[in-house]
Amino acid sequence: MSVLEMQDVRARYGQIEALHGISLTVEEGEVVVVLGANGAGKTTTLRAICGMVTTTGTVNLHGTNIVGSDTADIVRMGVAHVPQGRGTFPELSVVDNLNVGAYVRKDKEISADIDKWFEIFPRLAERRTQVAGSLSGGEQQMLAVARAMMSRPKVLLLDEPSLGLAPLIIDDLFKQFAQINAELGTTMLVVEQNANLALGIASRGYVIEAGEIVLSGTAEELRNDDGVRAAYLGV
Amino acid sequence: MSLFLQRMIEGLSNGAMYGVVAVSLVIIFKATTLINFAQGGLAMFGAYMANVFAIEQGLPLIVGILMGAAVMAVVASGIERVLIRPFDPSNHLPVVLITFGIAYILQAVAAWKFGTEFKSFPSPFPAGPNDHIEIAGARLRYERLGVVLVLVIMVGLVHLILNKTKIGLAFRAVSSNTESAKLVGVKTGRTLNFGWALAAMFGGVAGGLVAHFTQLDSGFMDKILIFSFAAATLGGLDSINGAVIGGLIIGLVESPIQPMVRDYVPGFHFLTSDLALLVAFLLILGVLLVKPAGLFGTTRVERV
Amino acid sequence: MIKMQRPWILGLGAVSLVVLGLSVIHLLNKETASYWPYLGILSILGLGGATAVAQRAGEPVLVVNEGSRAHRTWQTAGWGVFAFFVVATPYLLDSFRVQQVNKSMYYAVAVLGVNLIIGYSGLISLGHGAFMGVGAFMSVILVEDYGFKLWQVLFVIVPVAFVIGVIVGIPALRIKGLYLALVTFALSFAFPIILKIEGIDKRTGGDLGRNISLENQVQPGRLKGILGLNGLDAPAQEQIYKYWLMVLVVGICFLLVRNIIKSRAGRAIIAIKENQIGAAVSGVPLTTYKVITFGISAVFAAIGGWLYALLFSEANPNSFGPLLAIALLLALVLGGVYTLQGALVGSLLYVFLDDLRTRVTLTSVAGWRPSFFQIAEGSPLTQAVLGLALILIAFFAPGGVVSLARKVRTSLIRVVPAIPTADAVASSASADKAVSEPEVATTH
Repeated sequence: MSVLEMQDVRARYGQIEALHGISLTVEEGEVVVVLGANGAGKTTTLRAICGMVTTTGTVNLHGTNIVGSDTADIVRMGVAHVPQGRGTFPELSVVDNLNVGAYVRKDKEISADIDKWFEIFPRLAERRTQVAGSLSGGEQQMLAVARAMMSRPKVLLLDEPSLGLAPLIIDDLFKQFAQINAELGTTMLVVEQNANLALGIASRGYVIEAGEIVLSGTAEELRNDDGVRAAYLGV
Repeated sequence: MSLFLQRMIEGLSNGAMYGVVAVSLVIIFKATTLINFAQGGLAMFGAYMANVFAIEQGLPLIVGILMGAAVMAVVASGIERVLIRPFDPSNHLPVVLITFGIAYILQAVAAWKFGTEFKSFPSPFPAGPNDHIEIAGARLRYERLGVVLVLVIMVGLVHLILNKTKIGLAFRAVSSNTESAKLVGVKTGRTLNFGWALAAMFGGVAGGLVAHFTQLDSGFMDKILIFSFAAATLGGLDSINGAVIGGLIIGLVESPIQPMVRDYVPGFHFLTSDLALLVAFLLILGVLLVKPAGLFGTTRVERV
Repeated sequence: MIKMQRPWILGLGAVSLVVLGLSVIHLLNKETASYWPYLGILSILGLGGATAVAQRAGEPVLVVNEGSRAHRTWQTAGWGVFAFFVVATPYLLDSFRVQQVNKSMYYAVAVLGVNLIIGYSGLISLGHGAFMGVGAFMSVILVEDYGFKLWQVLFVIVPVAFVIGVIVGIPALRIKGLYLALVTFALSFAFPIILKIEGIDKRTGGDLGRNISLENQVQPGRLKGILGLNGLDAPAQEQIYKYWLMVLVVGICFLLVRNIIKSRAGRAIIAIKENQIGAAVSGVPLTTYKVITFGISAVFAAIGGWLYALLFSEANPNSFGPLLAIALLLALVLGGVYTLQGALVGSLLYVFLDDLRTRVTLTSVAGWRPSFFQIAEGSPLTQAVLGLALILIAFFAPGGVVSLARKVRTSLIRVVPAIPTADAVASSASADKAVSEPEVATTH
């Protein structure tokens, strides 16, 4: 059974339909990427999974249909979402951001996890008592990822993690994603405009245009596809 | 000097009461950017309930006040669930109408159920003519010192709850970024509900204390509410400490600053205590012109 | 061409409307033992049902072309009914109700001012009660101490109120949103206090206020015959005469505001509200316009105060404090924040709800008679009715009664706008319609 399976999902904002019946699957331990231009529906896809937009169709998380469920409940089932723009809590300190990331957990290893993430992102450790709003873009992104991982999710949803960040930082970040996937086995669904980077860590991908999936395949296939090359790889 | 000290305690204790109600306003504002216009009514009704429990049922006064406040917390929780939650939080207008409506209804029901004659209300602290301590010739009455003490305790409690408990963390998260809070699994509805209940509890306790210094009637919280708005505005609508400090400042302006100005500054002898209110507001205006979000409030930088 | 389907829905709506109107008229009499309240509730349900069915069907019942004969007939009929009510009210209702209508009128003019600020500029001001007070006291003082005639006072009020409004508007530029609301609310508190300061209270009468002496008051003049006042006792004559004067002023004010909104200046103001930054980069001088809007809105509030003085021949500082500020806001909101008619509708609603002196005993239905309807005069529960009304409005009609009425109408009757020809574009009739009625497009 796939970790995540979307079947004929339609999503709308008010009266405007943004997703016109998309289907995709993510298997356990995979990194799957969704490529698309601005406005294609990438962010809406992730929001549909989390129950943040009006959705019809089926979204199966470990076989259970979560369409219509409350966002907080979906999170409790093991989904973590790093939204576009980071979604950190600007008035809370770095350490509190991490604490609240573990909100759904009731075990005793939360502190240990916080220490672990401070090791992985030493820049955050330096700023542990600073309010998140005062961090730079790259630092906030690291914080957002760490925050999401604090809930020990089964599936990590990343919405355009490279947006607004300097190239060096983005490289670093994506190396981290690959490492998280390799060491912790976290399944990831990454939505990106930056196809190069995304395909670099993914095993499979989809291309979305105007609310519909137009292409799917392995990362290699997508990288060699002429259409993808022209539109997203600038070749 | 003794007069000054006495007036200062008076001012501080008044300020403490404004501060407590201001804190309840800030609690709700932080989480929802809404002003709860029913806060005064809730506090007033809480005092009436305390009156029922303590005077009519004979329970000790402190218990009565706490029970009254607890009842109002339940009421506020119900209000949030039924009347506030259905609305989109970014659209302020309907919720303003609703809190106004509740304020009117609470006042009407109180006047109808409890009658419109003034009642006097006791203090949980010893308030007899000899219950004071003397410092430098000033008589500092227990009832007033007690109020300041209660303020300190309550503010301490708030900080404790917000910073050291899980639900406090959830509350701060919801206040900071509601959508992200959902994404970490916080049930925002329940958290807000908690905020409303907490704010009402505070207001109820404040009502129970204030009632002793004014009389108990259906409008006794009105003036306090206005001053509390002023205090919260002065301190910054999203800062709890700001609300406390704002309240204390306004209390001090009322007394001893205003009487001092009236008595000692030439040309100001027309300054009545009503005008003290005016002075307080001019002060707030001045502060806002320099710091548009209040003394301790945070200005949200909007990206174009 | 007219397209009509399911005419029974339209019929239901029309009948409900008529019954509603009749029940309201009946309920305005102080003592009624009747079944009218039931009919009133039924008619509201009827309207609601008609709307719901029409909305479920997805199509309006009646489609009319703008400018067509049917459309014009509808509009004329509407104005006709309105005119009937305007003319009939002072003669048909009892004097207490007529006084309430009079009160609504000075509220309405002031609310026009508040609407300019809140509705069309997006700045929140709770201080317009103070501007009303300025108008009222200037009237009293100029008439009593300086020998002005009441109508001459207007010429002084307008510029003075404008200047004061501008002065108040300047700090408002720096303080935003909610803080502005609270500061202006503070102003509404401070105003009566200032008026009662030792020294100033000689002019304002202090706590007791000041009257306009009898010889300076407005008396029915030569128009008595035309207005049908002969044969009525003196208080009624005076009341109805004032009614007509106020109607005149209110009408002029509404026309003025409508023209302001439609003008280039008006559009700039709305642009500022909708998108400040966009307006700025389009060359609209933000500060100037905001401040001017404050000034103009103050003028209307002051005219409202002048009408107050006209009606009551007195002014008391305590009447122009925070209670009035809240009343104006509530009247605005009840009627509809973004609509012009809302000022009048909301004022009427507020004035009536505030003093709900209806003792209605319902005829028993099968032996059951609800007791809650016997809200005795002076009972504190009348306030609860106002509170309940506010809550209901928040749930069902946050855009005010007028927007609710519009929703009902548009689901039943759709007016197809005429396709603009080249000439029509030049005169931009439809464009103005869109600009003058910016309804908030929220999906509830």
